[in-house]
Amino acid sequence: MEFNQIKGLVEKYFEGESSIQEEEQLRLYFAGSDIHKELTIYTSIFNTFKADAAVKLSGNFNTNLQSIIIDDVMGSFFEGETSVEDEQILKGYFNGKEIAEKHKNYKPYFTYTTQEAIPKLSSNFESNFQFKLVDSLLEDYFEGNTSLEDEKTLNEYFLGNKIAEHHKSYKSLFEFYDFESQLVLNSDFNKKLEARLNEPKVIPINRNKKEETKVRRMTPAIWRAAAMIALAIGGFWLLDLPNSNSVKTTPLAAASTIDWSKYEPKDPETALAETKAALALVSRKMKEGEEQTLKGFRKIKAANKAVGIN
Amino acid sequence: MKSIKNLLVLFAFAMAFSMQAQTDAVSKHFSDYVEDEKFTVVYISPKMMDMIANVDDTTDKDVMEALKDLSGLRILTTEQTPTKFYKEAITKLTSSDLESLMTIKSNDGENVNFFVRSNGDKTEELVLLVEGEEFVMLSMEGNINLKKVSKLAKALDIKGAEHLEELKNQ
Repeated sequence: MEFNQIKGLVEKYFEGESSIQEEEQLRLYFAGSDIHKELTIYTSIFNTFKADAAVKLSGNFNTNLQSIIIDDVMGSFFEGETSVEDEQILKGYFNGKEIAEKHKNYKPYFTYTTQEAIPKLSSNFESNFQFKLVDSLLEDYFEGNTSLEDEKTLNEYFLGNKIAEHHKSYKSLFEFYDFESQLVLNSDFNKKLEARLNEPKVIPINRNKKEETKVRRMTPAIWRAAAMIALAIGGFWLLDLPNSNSVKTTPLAAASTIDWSKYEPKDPETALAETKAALALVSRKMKEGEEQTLKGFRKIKAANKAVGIN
Repeated sequence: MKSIKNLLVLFAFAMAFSMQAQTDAVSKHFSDYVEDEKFTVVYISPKMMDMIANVDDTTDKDVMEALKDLSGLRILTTEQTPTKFYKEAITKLTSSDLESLMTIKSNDGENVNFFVRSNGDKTEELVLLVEGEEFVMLSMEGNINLKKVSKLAKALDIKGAEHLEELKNQ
């Protein structure tokens, strides 16, 4: 191609008005060896374009395009609008090696979601679920509502080694039950029992009291005796046996705490005199009362007569 | 063993119920008067009553008869603040289980009250309250025949009054 033609194309190129074919022509020209002196300065440009253009289009172009798409999907992801496929894309992207610089901060989000969550779900999830089940079974167990199967489940759980922290205190309990349930009667148990039963009775020697604390039962005989004694004591205590005159402070005689004996006359003669005096007073007063009453009646009678009532 | 126990029980209960607290009004309600130094207190016990009956006396049969029926006699008397004690006594006795028999108010300022405690037809206790120049509380226990008692007045009158004076001066 002629120099002037090429020059014209270059100018067009830099004005941004070159068509693709023209650009292709320029590339061809500069890829060749016959380049005009004045145009050599542009060689690198058009060569680079050719080389890199192809590379960029195939390598970085895809990456850049990918990056743009990822941006878009991530935006949707954080808005909660991503489909499962979208999320898969993101996972794939972040699990790969070609992660853009600007995306590297987000890597944990998507690697966590893919890598770590699933193992947790598979190992701990099952255990946690199991623990919850055991909690419920234990509750029923202590209320006495478990079936034999439930109890079997509990036993197996406690005999295993995957026991939750908050269940560990019960472990010994179920181990004990397990142990006990395994106890079996010896084959010669019957023989032994018979032999023991046929032994002559041996009465143990009365041991030191400190060794044993026995519960002493109150036999009916003891009760009777105790009752008797209690009544006797009570009776004597409650009563005032010796003398009804000397009233001491006994419960039954609580009303009066008077010791009247102080006020007794020394001899019967005095007593007689005093009694007579007392009687005299009483009778006199009574008489007075009666007399007044009679007076009153007489007056009424007189009044009635006067009036004419009989 | 059992019969002894039963006997003991019966014994205890019998004693308990037979020898209970003093049932007379004075012991019940006026024990504080008895302790009070202001009061002159006289007491005739059932034993003493028995002894009286054996005393050779010139008084009439009626009196002795009446005495026989008595089991006890209690007298309280004081010259200090008779009105106050009288009022207190009245209050206590009217609210007690004793029945008011008679009340006499004379124009010379003397007040007399009779109270009785009955058990069916029998009068078991007679209480006399006098308020005048002195305060007198008298309680007679026994099988009291009120009619007989009032009849005694004549026989005992003069002598009785004298003796009452003697009593106070002791």
